[in-house]
Amino acid sequence: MPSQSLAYAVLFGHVAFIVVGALMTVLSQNLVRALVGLIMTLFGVAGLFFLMSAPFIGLMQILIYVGAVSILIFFAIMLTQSWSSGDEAQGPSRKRAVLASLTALAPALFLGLTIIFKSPPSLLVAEETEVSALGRFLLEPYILPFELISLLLTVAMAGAVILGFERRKQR
Amino acid sequence: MSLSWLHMSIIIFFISGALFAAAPFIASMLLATRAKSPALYSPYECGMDPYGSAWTKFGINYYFYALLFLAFDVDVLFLFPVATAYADGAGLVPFVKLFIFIVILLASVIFFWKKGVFTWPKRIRF
Repeated sequence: MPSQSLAYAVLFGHVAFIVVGALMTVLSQNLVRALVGLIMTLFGVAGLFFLMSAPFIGLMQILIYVGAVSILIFFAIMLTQSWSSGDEAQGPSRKRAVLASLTALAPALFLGLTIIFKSPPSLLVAEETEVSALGRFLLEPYILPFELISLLLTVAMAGAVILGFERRKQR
Repeated sequence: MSLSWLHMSIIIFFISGALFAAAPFIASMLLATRAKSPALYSPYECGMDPYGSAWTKFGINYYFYALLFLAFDVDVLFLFPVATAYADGAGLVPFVKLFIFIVILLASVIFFWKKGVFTWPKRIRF
């Protein structure tokens, strides 16, 4: 069945893309290159959302994570002084590396096993939800959370600016 | 499943896109002159020699501009589906609902403006 094997090829292509990006993020000596690997991973995850026929979530993944969060991380990198000859450049000890990878693997393992063995019977073929249906949900039954999102973001922005912005000299 | 004209056109566009990306590299490999000098690897080939690392520490204020951008980006995430559903809504009620959302955001913009976030030198007033 050529279309099914094609689907497998596309899926595992995305998975390979994500894994390569993640390895680049973890193993790179240069923080900026690690960020490029992270962006690659985020693009791959967006592709997976497209595969699950959730194009809106995929586009928002690109808009928010690739477009804004990675810029935020880049600004955070510029605040650090960890260039490749800095203090943090020599790798961690073997024991710490093993423990860290076990810690990273544990949630993936638990979540994966749960999904494989305890997954609810769901549709094998993903169904696309219309974006306007999401919008109708936000406008009709979930109108209060929708307005509170705006308020929450305003408070978060104001708090961040008041706490962290450089102040004028006070006399 | 036989190859139709649609498949052929997709494949042709794919190949021509790859060629379009590869052509400048191939052309520069064939046509460009070879030159090697340590000066070619400096950020500015002519002019002053740069000193120090390019990785200077920037002011933390720039981080907050990225943070504000992120917050408004998340707003767009919620405004986008609402905007698609807005066309189907009848009467003034959806307009008022959306108006409240946008007015709260506008209030934050006015707040930052009054605080002096958008003016130089970038320090806020209290």
